[in-house]
Amino acid sequence: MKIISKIEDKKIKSQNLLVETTFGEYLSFANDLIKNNEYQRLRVKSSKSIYSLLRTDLIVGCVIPSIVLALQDCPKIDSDEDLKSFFDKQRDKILILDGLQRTYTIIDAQNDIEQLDYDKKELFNNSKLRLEIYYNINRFGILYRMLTLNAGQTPMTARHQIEMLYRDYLGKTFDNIVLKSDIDGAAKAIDNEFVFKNVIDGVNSFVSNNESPMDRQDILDNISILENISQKGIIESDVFEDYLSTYSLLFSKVRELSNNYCINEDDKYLHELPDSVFGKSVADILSTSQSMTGFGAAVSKMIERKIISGFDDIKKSIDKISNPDDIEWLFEFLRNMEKIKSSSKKIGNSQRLYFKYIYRFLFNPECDSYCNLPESIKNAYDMYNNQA
Amino acid sequence: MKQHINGTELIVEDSLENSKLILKIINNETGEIKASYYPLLSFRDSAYIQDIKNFEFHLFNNINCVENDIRILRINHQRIGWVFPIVSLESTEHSYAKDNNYLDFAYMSIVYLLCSLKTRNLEDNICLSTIFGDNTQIVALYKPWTNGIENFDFNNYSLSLLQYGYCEEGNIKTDSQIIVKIIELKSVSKNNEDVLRFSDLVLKKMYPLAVTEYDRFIILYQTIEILISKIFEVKFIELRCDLETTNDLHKYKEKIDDISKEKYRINLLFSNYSTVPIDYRDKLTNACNDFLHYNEFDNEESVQLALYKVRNRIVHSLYLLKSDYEVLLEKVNNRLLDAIVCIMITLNIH
Repeated sequence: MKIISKIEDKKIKSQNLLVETTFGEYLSFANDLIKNNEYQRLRVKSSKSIYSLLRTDLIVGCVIPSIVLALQDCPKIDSDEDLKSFFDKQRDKILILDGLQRTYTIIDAQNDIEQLDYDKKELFNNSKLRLEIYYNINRFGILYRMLTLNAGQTPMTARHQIEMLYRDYLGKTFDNIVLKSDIDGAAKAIDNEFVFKNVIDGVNSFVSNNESPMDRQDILDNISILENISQKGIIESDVFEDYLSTYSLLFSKVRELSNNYCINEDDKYLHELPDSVFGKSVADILSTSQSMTGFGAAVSKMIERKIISGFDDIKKSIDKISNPDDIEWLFEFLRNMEKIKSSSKKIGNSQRLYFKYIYRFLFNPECDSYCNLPESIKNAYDMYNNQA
Repeated sequence: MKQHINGTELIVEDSLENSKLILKIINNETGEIKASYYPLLSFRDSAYIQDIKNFEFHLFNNINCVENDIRILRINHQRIGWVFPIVSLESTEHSYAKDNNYLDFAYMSIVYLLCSLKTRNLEDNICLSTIFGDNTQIVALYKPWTNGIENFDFNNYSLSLLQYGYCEEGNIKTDSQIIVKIIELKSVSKNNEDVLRFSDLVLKKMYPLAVTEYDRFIILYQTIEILISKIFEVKFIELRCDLETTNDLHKYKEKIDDISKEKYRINLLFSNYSTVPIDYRDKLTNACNDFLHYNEFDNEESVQLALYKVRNRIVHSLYLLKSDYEVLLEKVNNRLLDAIVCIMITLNIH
């Protein structure tokens, strides 16, 4: 492996190396790279014939475009030896940004040449391959580059890529919040445990400026996501951590305002609540994907409209949320959610929209209901109703 | 278990991955896995996986339904299945997401819908409501239950879904604000099959495709015309028999005159040859009179006169109606549809 050139990517503030290696050397770690990219899309089925053509071309020594890799948590590469050492010892930190399908094809080609004579095998193994390697790159830099490199090809949603980038947060504690898997019952909101998938939904809603479920997002939206990331200048900081720390603050604050109140059977009767409420406590309510996506989309919209400059403004506002006189706002919220449930074509989407309005009213300093939770809940429902 | 519907390209097979149920969609000819479907609803504990041949499915359109409009279908108080929006199959937010009986039918419905896809429609993230439409509803019937009903044929019962806005094509807008959780299906009458078969066709095929309230009224009234023409036939044959024995020809002529009158036959239709509940008749009368009053015509006391008068104003005096007459005509149409469905269920022109 030989470093040919080194330049700085000023957009994503990272270093980019052009490296020359051989197919044989690449194959010595290719299978490990694929394991690291398990969250990425599976092998493309539809262009079987194109890749099979490439496979035969590789065996005779064709040149293929550079494969692009990113080295996570790698601040410095000064020499070929540093690079080789990283590849030997920290393979689990190497991501393929562009060239996963080509990697599969190279592995297939290796299997094909097993049947050939020694000279042909040597020719293949010694054929040159160029790699483009990013290091000293943060996660959103990786996301940004992935989206730009993959635009127009068989796509992966941005949401999927975000999940892949932050998969190592699963099971860890961040700002008092523990991120758990989405197996039922795994996350207990009352113990400050969030479902990892819900947080990913929330971050993605912020990045894409859209509270809707992301799995079915139009791939073309990746372009607008790119623009969003680019304009908001969020490559410099880690949006995931900013989002989660701010949301964690909000979560604690609203729980405190509710005194950790839990809805009981008497409440259902006295306050005209349904048998099955959206959430029995603030912890249950605010740990949902609907709340997190509504929050992400609301903050994103306010930044776009220059109402706020970023998550720091939200953190300051959270401190200012006034203490309501009673818990009636919680009952009103639950009644509104029940009305939404009985009148909506797609309940989940409508719930997200309602949450988005609540957070916009709550954190917009230009609104009368700024930092006023009961008023925000009421005004948000009026707005939702007008839209519906 | 592998599930397949005759005549379709795909097989659907269930399997467990990380304790969650997933459905693999397989090409019937090549055996190749074309896609996977990951249900949102939790079927782990309640999956009542049966052979799809034990179920019968029908797709309907209903623009009035929201996600939570999940309804039990019954015949003579006996449960036969469910009707629910396809959207509900991909959401955990509605009231039935943990109802085991709903989940059993929901699972089989998902299997049915996946089996009925074409290979070219398959993609990595299958969204059934995107493929089939947000307004599409699925009727799922359990054959061991419907087999208990003599000569069961769902086509005979689907007319009673029309009142709730369910139609095979086109749209029917209803104005009912009542939340309905159980629909009691009723069969079209076995009597007078000749006219009922045609009326059934008019209502199911033509009515939902109507665009304006004017069109809807004309089509609904066409049904009335078909039925009252049958009454004329039957009455005329009766009178023809009486001709041989009658002594009073003047009275005989009066009877002929009567059966020639449309409003007379409408009265017979509502009073003698079918059973329309009083509240349905009253609501129709009131809707007709509201329409007449708004357009500055006199009201009528009985349902047959009120309906007949609305018909005449529309057919003969359209130019006299106010420009927004369709607002109240919509209410007439909704009540008239309710009444016609009752007539067709109880019809007995003898």
